[in-house]
Amino acid sequence: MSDLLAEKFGVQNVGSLERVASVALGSFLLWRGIKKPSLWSITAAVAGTGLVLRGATGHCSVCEAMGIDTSDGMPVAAKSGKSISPSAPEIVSAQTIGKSAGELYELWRSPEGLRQIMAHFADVTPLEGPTVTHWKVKGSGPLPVEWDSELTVEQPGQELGWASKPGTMLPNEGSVYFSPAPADRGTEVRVRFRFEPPLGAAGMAISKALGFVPKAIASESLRRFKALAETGEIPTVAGNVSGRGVSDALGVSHAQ
Amino acid sequence: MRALCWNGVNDLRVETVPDPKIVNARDCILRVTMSTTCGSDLHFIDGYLPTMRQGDVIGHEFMGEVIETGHEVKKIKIGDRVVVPSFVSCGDCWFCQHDLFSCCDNTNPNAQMQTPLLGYPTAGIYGYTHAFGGYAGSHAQYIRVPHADVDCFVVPEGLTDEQVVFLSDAAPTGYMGADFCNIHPGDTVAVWGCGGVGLMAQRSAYLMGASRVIAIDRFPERLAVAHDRIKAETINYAETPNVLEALREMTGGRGPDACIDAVGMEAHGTGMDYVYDRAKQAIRMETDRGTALRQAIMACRKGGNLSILGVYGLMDKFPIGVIINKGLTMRTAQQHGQKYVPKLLEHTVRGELDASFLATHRFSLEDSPKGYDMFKHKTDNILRAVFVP
Ligand SMILES: NC(=O)c1ccc[n+]([C@@H]2O[C@H](COP(=O)([O-])OP(=O)(O)OC[C@H]3O[C@@H](n4cnc5c(N)ncnc54)[C@H](O)[C@@H]3O)[C@@H](O)[C@H]2O)c1
Ligand SMILES: [Zn+2]
Ligand SMILES: [Zn+2]
Repeated sequence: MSDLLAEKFGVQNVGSLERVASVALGSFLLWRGIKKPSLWSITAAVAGTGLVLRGATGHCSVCEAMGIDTSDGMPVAAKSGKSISPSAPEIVSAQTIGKSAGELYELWRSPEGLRQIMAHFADVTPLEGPTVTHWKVKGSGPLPVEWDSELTVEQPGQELGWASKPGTMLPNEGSVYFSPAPADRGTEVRVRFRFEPPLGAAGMAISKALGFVPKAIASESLRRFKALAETGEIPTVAGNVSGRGVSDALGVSHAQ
Repeated sequence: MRALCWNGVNDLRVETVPDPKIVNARDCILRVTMSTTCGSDLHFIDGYLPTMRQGDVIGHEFMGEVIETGHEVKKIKIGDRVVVPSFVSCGDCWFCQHDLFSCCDNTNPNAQMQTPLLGYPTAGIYGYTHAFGGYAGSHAQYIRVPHADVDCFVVPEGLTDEQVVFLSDAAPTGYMGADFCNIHPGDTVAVWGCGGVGLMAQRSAYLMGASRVIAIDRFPERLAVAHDRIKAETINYAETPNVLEALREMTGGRGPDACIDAVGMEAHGTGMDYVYDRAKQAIRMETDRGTALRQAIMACRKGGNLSILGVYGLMDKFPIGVIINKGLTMRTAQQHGQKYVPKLLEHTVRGELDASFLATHRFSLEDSPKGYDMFKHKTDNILRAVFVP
């Protein structure tokens, strides 16, 4: 069976111990995603399918895809983030928004704007104005994943960069770039970020395979940013009614 | 409130669900006064569209009275009687500003779910799968309408609900389909399907100056409506051995200048390719039966316009070579209702369009499952079932 799959999905590029681990973790994520749908668990479930396949076939196409992702013309990584190893995965996402670079820069930099943009994924609270913020990942359970983040680059209308302060289990750094889009299309916005996965090399393998969970989070952040900038609000089915009651587990943008 | 919920393939039930509330500042709440069935609903009722969930409130073609508005709603007022297109559109993004309302960038809360299917997410729809946003639908006593100032159109005095409700979907879809045909004097437009959408496309083609309209279906009573009301010529494909030959003959050997598909993925057919599609669809190897669309492509004159309104999934055996070699222009979209509703209201006020004849059967919300059953099986000469909550 696994040979057949391997033939179908490409040659093996994953070792055998890792394959067992992949199947186990993948099955768990899948099970959880189906039992209790949310953006997190659904994307994780999709990743889970990938992991099961990867384990079964010994081939990881996500790893390949990640390689392509990181090479598409993004400006060189910000100066900060010394604590992050060069091999840490880089996530990129782009969106065109019908507002000026200046307005978008201000909206992202404002604590209230940032709070709304990230509300699907983390609670962001200002510590020192817009410069230092506290991030706590939503739904991360009894072991909260959190960090303080500091602005490292502030170039009005062009770029904002940030990095986590030392002492978190998930060191990360990232930036957002603004450049003019053609004709009446507004501004091209690109986000990139990298994070150092916990558990060293094993964690690295897992988070590479899970690459598009962070990818989905990044692209969802940009979608929310765009809606907020263009319409003043973020689309939501929070409070949606159905035969299941109020609110919708699949709605990714509960919080505003 | 009471609402019609989807509970699985061919399992619709009226249930008690919570009342909707204002969530965002541009929202309003409508008391639904009339809501109707659409051919698109049949696709998920029959299980051909993914991402429905048990308990979803369905329905996307409706009108009502505004009973509550969010604090950013400026134009629409409590008490307004309005009609609402099926797609939720923000009015501010590049797509909305270029009249591509069903492609709105800012109204699908489940964009991450839809992007892998389409490459880019579309606007959200009421009551029409979670990939399309998961918004609660209109077969209910009340509905939440986001971006009220953009998506609610105030109904002029003197029109009945039956005249207006189809301006939510069937009429703008048909009108858009005719618009895609770039009609010139002397043109012949052939329309596959005499459901609500097809009949509206036929009437719109005349409004846009077509010289002849040819309607194709197999239900004699629907063809009779096309003939008597719309003044279209008709072909019953079940009784006509060769529809292509018939069309060629009727158009002096040229073929129709434009062909509109108002049938969609559950097309019925008589030939070999129907058997092939039916078998593949039954074992879920493909989602579509493409009989009508393939016929429209073959029938169209060289250099003509092909306008696709029927909804499809991922069809195989799509004759792209015919399109290329004959140099056809193909245009298609989910309806950009917000572009067309004002024009359609004007046509209705002037008496040039009266869609009320589509409302052949009227039900209370409690009886809506019966309405869908009749609509699906096309019994008792039904064109559309309308529900009055
Ligand atoms: N693009 C949009 O925005 C949009 C909006 C509304 C509906 N739709 C789609 O339009 C289609 C029609 O909707 P409707 O409400 O009129 O549905 P309907 O079910 O009432 O009508 C479909 C008609 O097509 C006929 N038909 C079936 N096979 C045929 C064939 N091979 N040749 C000719 N006619 C055939 C049927 O007999 C029926 O009368 C559906 O696919 C629906 O999903 C699209
Ligand atoms: Zn419809
Ligand atoms: Zn829009």
